Amino acid sequence: MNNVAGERKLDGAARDRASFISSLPLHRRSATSRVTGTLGAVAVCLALLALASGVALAAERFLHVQNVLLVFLPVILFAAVRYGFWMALSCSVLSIGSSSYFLADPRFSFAVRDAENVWALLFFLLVSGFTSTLAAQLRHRTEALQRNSRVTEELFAFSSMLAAISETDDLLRAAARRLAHTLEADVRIFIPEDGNLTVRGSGSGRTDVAHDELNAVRWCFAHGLPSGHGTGASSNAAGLYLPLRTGRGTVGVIGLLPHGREEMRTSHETAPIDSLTNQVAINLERVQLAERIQEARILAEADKLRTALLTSISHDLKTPLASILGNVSSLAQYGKLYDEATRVEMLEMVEAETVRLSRFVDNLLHMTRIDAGGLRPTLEMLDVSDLVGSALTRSEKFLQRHRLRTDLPPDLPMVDADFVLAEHVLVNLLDNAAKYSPPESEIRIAAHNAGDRVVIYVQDEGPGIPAEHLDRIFQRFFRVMTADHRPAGTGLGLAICKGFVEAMGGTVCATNRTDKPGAHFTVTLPKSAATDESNR
Amino acid sequence: MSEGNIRVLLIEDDPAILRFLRNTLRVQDYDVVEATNGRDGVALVRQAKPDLVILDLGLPDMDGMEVIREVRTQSQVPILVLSSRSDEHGKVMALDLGADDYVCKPFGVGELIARMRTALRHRLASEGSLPTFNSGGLSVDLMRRNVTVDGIKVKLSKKEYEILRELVVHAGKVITHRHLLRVAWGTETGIDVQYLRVYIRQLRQKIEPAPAQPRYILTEPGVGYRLSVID
Repeated sequence: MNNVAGERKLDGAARDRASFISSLPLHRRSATSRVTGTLGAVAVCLALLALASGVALAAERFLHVQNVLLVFLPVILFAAVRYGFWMALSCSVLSIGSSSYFLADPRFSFAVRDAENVWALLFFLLVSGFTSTLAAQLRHRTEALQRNSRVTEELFAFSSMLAAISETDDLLRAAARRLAHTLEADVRIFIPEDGNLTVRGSGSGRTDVAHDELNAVRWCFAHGLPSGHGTGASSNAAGLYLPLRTGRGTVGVIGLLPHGREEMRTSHETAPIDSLTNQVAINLERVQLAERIQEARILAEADKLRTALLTSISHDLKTPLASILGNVSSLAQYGKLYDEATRVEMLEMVEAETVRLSRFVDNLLHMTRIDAGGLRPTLEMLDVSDLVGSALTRSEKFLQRHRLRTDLPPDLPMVDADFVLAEHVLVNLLDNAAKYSPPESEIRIAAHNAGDRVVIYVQDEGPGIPAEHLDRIFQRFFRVMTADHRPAGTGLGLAICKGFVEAMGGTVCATNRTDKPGAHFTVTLPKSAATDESNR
Repeated sequence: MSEGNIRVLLIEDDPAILRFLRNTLRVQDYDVVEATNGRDGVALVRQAKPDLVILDLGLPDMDGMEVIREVRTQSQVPILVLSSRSDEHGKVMALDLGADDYVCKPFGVGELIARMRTALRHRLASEGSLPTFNSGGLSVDLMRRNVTVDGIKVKLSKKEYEILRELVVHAGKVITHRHLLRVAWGTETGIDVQYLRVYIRQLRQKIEPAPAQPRYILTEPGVGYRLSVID
């Protein structure tokens, strides 16, 4: 809302930009435009004086008005208000000349006969001079007020625009572009990065910096004072460099470079530029502080996660290790004391625990890959039944105690997915179903065509997912307790499913079955665009 | 150790795995020769003339791929690679370079022995070709180009048969996507793995009793396919 209002104000102000610019040091007004302006003013004044002379002549001739000199006064006041004191004074002199030549006796001569008339002319000159001064002062004041209000408006618009930005790069880019537009110069904003001052915002998009310019930038940043063209420091540089100062010191440098071959003009009227750079500095500090807070929050979050990870890892690694070490050391030391059946049982336990450990390590590796952003799925056209078949083969061991039902229509379209990742997702879902449902119950895996996607779902006949946990079930280390109040998995399996599925452009969600108790996991994968052609 | 035993060269740097493999193989009456780095391994292929090489891809002195390449310049001995589970790219590369099969670490001994037998049998079989292949209910007569499932004749298209034939010839071994593409299409460029998937799907629908749970044509995720040998 704020932003919109600010932009609109800015547009309004932009219309008056020409006059605002004249107060800025970089504006160059051409000599020709100044000359045509003055000539125009002279022409207007002469015309008005001629008109006044005519009126005065008529007034004297037909109305017999005695002192017609006053007819010229409005013209003089107009000249004073519009064009300033000197133009008004010239008009006064011309008015006197005109009245003595055309109106006063002897006519058509500049000679003045009566002393009375001489006095009248002198007083007229005095009065017109005095009123012209007042009028001209009034004009200056009005102009200054107008200018100030435009500067304020521009500043307000600038600051509202900057206040709406929440990222450093966006801020610097927007500020540079806006300043470049307002100041009609190429603007570059330099921010220290790893000890080097680098261009992070540029009005023209260019980021190259000449050697002399960089020296000026460095000086400006080090001393917190302006440098470059027209200043005492590094004045051989083409640009003008102003420090971005905040309470914490200098946080950057704004560089103003002339466009193309034009030379930079500088003046001492730097007040609006200072205000603009201040705005940039203040907003830069605000954004940087906000980013630092965000970073701290992420770090704290990561720390919490690490603690959870360590707790989970130490439990999930040590439990199987304890069992393995216990069984193996016992067999090594007292092997002869056990009968054959016990020995076999102990060894089977070691084997099962090792498999569990291996799966856990796999899961940790997958999670790390997701976190590190190292997941690069190779999407290719896949047959869903191939995928399901492969997942079922891999899940054979832990599905032995359940009844399995597959419902895959033979005309199922192909999907775009990464075979290894998608298979892993299905294995994890099957594993999850096996863990949370009683032996001999049915696990169903099915798929159907749904518009531009293929839906694959895994259903079990366990107790289902408590409603309050439905939205947290894909969070890592979140575990729903099993019937015997023991967490069954590592809390990573479903988080990995989510990570993998989303990396492939699919979705995964958890609900409860509506037909009977049990969990219902749904995976959708994008249908392959090539399906129809290649399936001929 | 008698002369008639099968000789296996282990190229493995990890002492624990080396010991486990050595013990397991000796118990099974294999002759075991060992190398703990790639250089020695390549040299031993020449000197000891093993019947099978088991190669760990992660060696201290040289890349496992380089070992495969060097071994293949001098010998056609079957190579069984020990790889990590998530390294599909490495598996495919090793197979393309001439390795015969792979086992993912960690592995059980049953899996290892089965892969070794397949690799060894394939070497023997490739010398004299076997006319008929049987696995469970699947029977492929390579002479007559005849395929039956549970005694019922199955009609396959030319490409389908070519793919199945290649899998049968290398039964039990993993065959990479590229290899199958080359066989069926005569080229590996320009043709996508996706076409292969379509043909495999059609093939499965014709020969598998339950295409969603294939018994014969097994998928090796990210690598290729393997025809299972069911006695």
